[in-house]
Amino acid sequence: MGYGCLGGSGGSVESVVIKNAIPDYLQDDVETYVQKSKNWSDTGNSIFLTDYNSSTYASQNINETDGIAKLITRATTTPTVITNARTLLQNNLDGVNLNVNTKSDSYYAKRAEILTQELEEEILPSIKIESSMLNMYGSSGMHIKQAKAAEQIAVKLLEISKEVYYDDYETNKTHQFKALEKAIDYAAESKREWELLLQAGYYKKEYTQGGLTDSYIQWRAARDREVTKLEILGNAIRATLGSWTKEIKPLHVPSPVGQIAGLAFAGAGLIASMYGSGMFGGMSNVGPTVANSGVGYNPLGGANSWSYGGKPLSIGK
Amino acid sequence: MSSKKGTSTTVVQVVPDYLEGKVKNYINRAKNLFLDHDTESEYYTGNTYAAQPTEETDALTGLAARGNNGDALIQTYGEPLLEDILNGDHLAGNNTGFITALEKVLDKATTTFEDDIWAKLGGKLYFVGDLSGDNLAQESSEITKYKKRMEAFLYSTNYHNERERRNNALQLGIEYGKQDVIDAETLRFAGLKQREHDHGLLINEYALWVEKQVNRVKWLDVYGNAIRSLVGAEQSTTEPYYRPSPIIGMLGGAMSGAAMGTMIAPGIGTGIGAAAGAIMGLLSGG
Repeated sequence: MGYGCLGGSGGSVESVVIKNAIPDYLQDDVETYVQKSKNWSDTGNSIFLTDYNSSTYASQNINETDGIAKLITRATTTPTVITNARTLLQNNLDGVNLNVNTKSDSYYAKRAEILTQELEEEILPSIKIESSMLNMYGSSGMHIKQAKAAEQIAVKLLEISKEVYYDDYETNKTHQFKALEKAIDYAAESKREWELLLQAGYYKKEYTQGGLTDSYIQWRAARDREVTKLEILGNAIRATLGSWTKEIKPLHVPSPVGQIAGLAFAGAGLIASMYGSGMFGGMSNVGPTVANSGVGYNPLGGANSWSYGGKPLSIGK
Repeated sequence: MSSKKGTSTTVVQVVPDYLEGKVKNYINRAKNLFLDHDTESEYYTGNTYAAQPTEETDALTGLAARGNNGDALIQTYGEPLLEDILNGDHLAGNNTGFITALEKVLDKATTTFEDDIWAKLGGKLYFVGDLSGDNLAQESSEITKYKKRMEAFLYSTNYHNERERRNNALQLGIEYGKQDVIDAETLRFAGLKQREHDHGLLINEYALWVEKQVNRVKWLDVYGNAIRSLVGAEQSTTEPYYRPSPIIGMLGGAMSGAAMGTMIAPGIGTGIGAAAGAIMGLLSGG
């Protein structure tokens, strides 16, 4: 550090003060730590003992893929029970199932047959016997009785026909009405299936996205590796920075000539004090004036340091 | 010659000597990292946003169609029927199903009566004395009135039942009324989910764009971090100083020398002392 001086004779000197906050017994550890950090940090060196070459994103297992596949299948292929039920509901609502009971005719025929048989085997013979006993066989009364018997059969036939056909119609009308309520749930099923398919799509996309994100993270890790390594050294430096200070301060040293001059001054002053005036045959020291009489104070003179006319002056004498 | 003014600099270093090389290595590498990556072209070129799988697009299309068109069970079958019932359209018994059932009931019985029952009576049921031969006895057997009674009964029963269904249909009105809302929500849901995907894509693209833009800043920050770590590693304190003019020194020296010369040899000693003092004053001022 330069320090200006006149005549080039002045000195440029530095004062260096070192303070070390690290205990002596720790110094080696600190330097080892820093050196190790430097080694690991150096470009080309690996931070780790070995590079990690394994996968960081788990593959889907068979249960997951099968599960998603089944979800897709279920979403895109409506189960037969649902399609059949839906068809039935649709037919009920549309009235397709009204008056189409294929068993009705047979049922009606059986019941009508019994009535016909009853007429033939029980009612008509009974009328004929009764009429014969009353000698009315073939009479108008017998004929009217037969006609009325047939009429009662007609009433029964209408009752049977009503029970077979109208009651069946009414039953199916009830089914048709109840189908209105069930249709709401089945209609929602088509929406649920699309939602299910959407969910399956999300499951697939979620996995794909995870893979993409993992790849990106790997890329960033690789890109930032040099920074990571660099900061190993940076951390070591930051840890030790400030543990040691060196203060360099310029010192002004007078020039040797100046020192000699000062010394000469001091010597001349001393001689002047010791020998006073007339040393070289000079003027008399008579007179009290300070300038000419040599009145002064000699710092080396102790208690008698005051002089007058070159002679020591003792105060109080 | 005049007085002198200048500065004096004190330096405090906090980097240990044994660390100096490593510090320079650290800062240089940080700088090189920045310089090596000071380009916009270095950013991730891979795909970072998963495309919609077929299942998702199909589902969204299906949901949109479902939302737009509703379900046939409701739209085509259920709702018209419910409207008919609530309107009382079936009360009069003029709907096809009822008429068919009614005809079956009457026709079957009539056919049986005419085809089977009369056949069992045999011949004609003459009314004796009826010279016209109009089979009056047979005419006394009449099914028509019973058919009409049955017909009236069925219309009445149908009316009663349809009224019952009409009242019960009230509870379904609200549920069916909701279906349009459900359809609308389904359509909105399909749109929302598509927008979520599209928005995610935009966010992703924006994030990539931002990363591309700030990539250089990131590396600059690495450099900056290294610099921040070393701020304060050396402190220089520069202070002004003032040094009197050498002439002042010469004058002081001359006066002191003159005084000493006078003491030693007044007269000539004063002059010699003043001259010597001036020279020494000049020299000692350096």
